Amino acid sequence: MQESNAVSHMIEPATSAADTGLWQRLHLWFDDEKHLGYTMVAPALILLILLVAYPFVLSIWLSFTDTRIAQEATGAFVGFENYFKLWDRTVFREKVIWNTILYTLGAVPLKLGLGMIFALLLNRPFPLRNVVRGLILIPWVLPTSLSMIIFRWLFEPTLSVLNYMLVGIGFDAIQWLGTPQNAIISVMMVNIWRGTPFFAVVLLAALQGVPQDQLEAAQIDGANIVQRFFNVTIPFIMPVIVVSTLFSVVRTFAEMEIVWVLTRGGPFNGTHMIGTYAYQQAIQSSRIGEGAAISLFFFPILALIVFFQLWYLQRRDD
Amino acid sequence: MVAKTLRQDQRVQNFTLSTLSYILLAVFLILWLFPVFWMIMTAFKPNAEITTNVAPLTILEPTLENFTYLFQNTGFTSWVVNSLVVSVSTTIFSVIVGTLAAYSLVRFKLVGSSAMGMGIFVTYLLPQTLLFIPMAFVIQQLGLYNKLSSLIVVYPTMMVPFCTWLMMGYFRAIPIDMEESARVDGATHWQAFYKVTLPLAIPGVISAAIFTFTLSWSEYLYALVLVPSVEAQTIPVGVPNALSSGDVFVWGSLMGAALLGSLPVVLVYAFFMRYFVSGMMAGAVKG
Repeated sequence: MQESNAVSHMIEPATSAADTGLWQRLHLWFDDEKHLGYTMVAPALILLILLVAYPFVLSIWLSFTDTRIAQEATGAFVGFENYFKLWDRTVFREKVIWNTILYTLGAVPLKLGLGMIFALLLNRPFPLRNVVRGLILIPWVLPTSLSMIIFRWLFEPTLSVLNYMLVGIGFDAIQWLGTPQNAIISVMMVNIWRGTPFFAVVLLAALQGVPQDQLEAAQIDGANIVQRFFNVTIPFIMPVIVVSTLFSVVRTFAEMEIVWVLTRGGPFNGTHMIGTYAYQQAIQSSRIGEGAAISLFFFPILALIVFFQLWYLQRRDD
Repeated sequence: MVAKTLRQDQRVQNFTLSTLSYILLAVFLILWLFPVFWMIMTAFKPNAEITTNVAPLTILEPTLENFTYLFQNTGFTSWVVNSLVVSVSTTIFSVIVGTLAAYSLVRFKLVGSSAMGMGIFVTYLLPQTLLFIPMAFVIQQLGLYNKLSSLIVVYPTMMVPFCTWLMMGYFRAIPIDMEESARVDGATHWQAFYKVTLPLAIPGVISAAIFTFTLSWSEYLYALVLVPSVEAQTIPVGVPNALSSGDVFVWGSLMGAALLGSLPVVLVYAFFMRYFVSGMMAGAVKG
């Protein structure tokens, strides 16, 4: 009570009060930069140690054990057994690794490219520009698992409106999620649908910071629109491109819900990726140890990306 | 003469360019918004029209039966309540904890400040995919498995790093001079923060809150793993899981649920678009 009272008297000399009661002393104690500083950062720090650092270390440990859900006799140390077992699984070797790489390397460049085109289009003046800008982010704002139900409906084998329209203009109906090849392309398309607006909006914000006078100077020097884009605009927004792309790589590569809601990793395990496979093994088949090994299998790549991103930010800040 | 034709060329070029860009933009918009349009259409279509595929691009007799079904035959109401409880608690907690930590890391010269800042950034980048398995284990140890409260405990692990990172950017941009003059006038460090700097950082707080709310409302993986029982689920898990009975999907109600379930975040986005975009920039670009 008194604490908030003291605060509400805006600038009250801390030492003027004659009494040296408990509150006063606390007040003084907290006026020390270190005391207050550590107190303010402590809740966040404790949370992250208990619920991020500890689980992370635990996950490394679990990946070396044969822990299973709700089975008392398990949890023994088995060394690299889980990793070996994983490597022996054709689903993991031939589907999970390959799909994760394909999904990431296929979707991220397209999201970036389309997002850039989108951003350039939105950066031109036109009627209702603000409305269009607002609408464009909606695919990204919708809760993903809910928008995936929409795609389940769009891809429905017999009632698909997409097929209705395709047939209407003379094409054959497509089994969007029916075969492994089609399914992996479909989930990538959906990922691109969801991620492009993110790039569009972020790049648009960056484009608006490009100095107009430099663009005009280049134009006077005879640079055409393409040259202006590559020689003035791109170098200026490069940091945004790099950081948002790395960010998207991490998110795409660890993505789980698009694939899980659309295909459950099927058909014939054709769309399994790290996220879906780890979930299936660890939670549905209750093999916690192996599941942890699946997640951690890709940790080195993730660490590399994070390291690069940190290095890039540091270098840019200097 | 030469100058004139040049200018004409320029004008023709500009005209072609803007026509092209309008067409392209229209194509983009149709492709990207069609799923949303289709969700809304289906949500108001009677089941008979949905399953017979008569005139799929129109609604012959608009209906609310899909929504009635949702509220009467599924746990939709309780999922909404659960989602609200989890998102609001996560938001309040994460914004407060993140703001305090951010201020401390930016303003005070503490041992390990920069290491902590980096740690927070790295944590922010860690995907749930990496942590959900041990998290399930920890939640079980805490006795919170299959309880809504598990999500209130777990979501801040994603959101506190985000809020901290975002607020650090805001605090860095606020000049220290005003705090210093307040200090000269006898304000304590806490007063300088609370009375001088925090009010200037309110736009950041709003961005952090909006973003945290949206991400908690939409979170799927932890909710799927930690809360299997239908009554305790949140919208993103409850809707896709429980509305499908075997292979027979109730498409009208599913679209109705997708529509209603998205509404809160879309409304928040519509009303606070500016803050939303600045949150995206801070989250994805500065960090």
